[in-house]
Amino acid sequence: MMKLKAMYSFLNADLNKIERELEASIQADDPLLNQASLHLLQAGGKRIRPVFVLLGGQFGTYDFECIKHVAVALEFIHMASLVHDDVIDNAKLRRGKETIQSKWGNRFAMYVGDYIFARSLELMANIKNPLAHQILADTIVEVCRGEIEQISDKYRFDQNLRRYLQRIKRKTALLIAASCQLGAVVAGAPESIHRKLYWFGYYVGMSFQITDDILDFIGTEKELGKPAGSDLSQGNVTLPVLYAMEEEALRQSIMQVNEATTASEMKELIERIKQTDAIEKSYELGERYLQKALSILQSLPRNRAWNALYNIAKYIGKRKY
Amino acid sequence: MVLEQLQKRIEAVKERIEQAITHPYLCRYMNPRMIDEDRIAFSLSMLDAANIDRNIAEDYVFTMMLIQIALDTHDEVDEHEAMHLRQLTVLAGDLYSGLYYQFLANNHGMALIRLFAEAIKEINVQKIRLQRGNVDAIERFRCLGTIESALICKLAQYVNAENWSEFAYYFFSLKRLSDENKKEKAVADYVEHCKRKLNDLLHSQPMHEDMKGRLYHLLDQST
Repeated sequence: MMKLKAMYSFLNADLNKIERELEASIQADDPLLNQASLHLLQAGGKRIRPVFVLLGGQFGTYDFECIKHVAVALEFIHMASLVHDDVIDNAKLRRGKETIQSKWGNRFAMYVGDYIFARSLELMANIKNPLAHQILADTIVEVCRGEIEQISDKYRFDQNLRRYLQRIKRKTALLIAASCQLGAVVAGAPESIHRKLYWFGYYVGMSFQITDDILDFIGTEKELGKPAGSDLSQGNVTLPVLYAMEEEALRQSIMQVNEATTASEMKELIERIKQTDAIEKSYELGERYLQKALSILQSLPRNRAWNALYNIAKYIGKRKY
Repeated sequence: MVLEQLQKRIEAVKERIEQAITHPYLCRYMNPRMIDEDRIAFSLSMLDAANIDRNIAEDYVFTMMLIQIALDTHDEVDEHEAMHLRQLTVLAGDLYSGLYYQFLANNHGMALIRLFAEAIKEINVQKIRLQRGNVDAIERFRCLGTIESALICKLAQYVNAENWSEFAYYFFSLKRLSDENKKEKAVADYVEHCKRKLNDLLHSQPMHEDMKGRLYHLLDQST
């Protein structure tokens, strides 16, 4: 399978510049803050949000010097949310590296996250188009509400598919949708185009999160950077769990999961879930979202960004980690 | 009459903030957020003195207070041993940050977005410095002064009322230190320094009677 980076190689020079911008933009007047920020940046990541911003920008008048602010801002917003998520989850490792909260404590992590979020808004202030700010602000608020919803839904096994979909929309799809749309908005693309890019990103994001939730069951600890089934052990009811609960006996066992469930009990439960058709059905739903994304793409003008978006969508549906 | 009016406006801003930050799930588990009336009174006085339209002034103060509450909420993260409450504290602060940006974005407050972002950065840098702990007393007072006044100072800059910045710095430094143990010599000396500064500035600053009353109260309280 084609490597993700090869799908948008024409953006390589700009993505390298984005990487340098990320490093330069995060510099602070405090050595420890700099150390922590660099620690975060070096942990890497796919930088998928900046990629979507730059690709969205190709549907309008692409001006790197303008669009870079949005690309960097979105990556910073993502990074800030990860730092705070690690406090929420009390996570010790992320992408195999020690988390900020583990290394320097909760309070420090809160300050780093707040600093990075503020930096992202400072960068966004370079964008004069009010619509760009409205889109991003609405997205941020919805993402936060989604995270609160995720906490309120923990260990709630009576939730339905609709509730799950609403949650992953807010958790993942909205920021990817906004990334695609914002690139186009800032590049001055017409509404008919940037709205479609929003929906493309939305469907890709939904598919991406469903795949993520499947991988949490079928991935290895090495691939995932955390034990398989972590979502369920933390009380997060994901799509494979909802489908597995359609089997009555399994439903009863799943409903017993709580904070005291041991690792070996969980391991056994995960195996039982994997033996049902829950994974397959989850893949099918993920695929349906992917098809919706590809269908939207058909109505967008063909250019090299179009090809890249097509390949990325395909990749996301088939990724293994 | 004027005093009553300012208090009414403070109440109105408080009510707006309370409505904005209300979230059914957060309300069920978290204590209501503290809204610092002195901060609202101070900012409204400053904006009135700068001849800013009342409605616009209240919008600015509303936004600034959302940021203040967001930052204050994140300061509480370590106070909660219970995981659930800690999680909600993180998310509540994030939500309030999102809300202030949403308000400015919908009201075309681009320049304020930048200025407030600068203030938040500055505040967090100072919090990190304080948390590290290797600062002397004077440095600590400087950090506290910035943490407490950076947002108002940026607002002052925005409305060309920079003459209020020093006043804000000492007023909110004194307010912060008024709870500390003044038997410690460095704190007692700095409290006296703040009071002298505020007494000097008081006469050069036109302000609402209500604000003056709050200032005198603070000066008395810190004795």
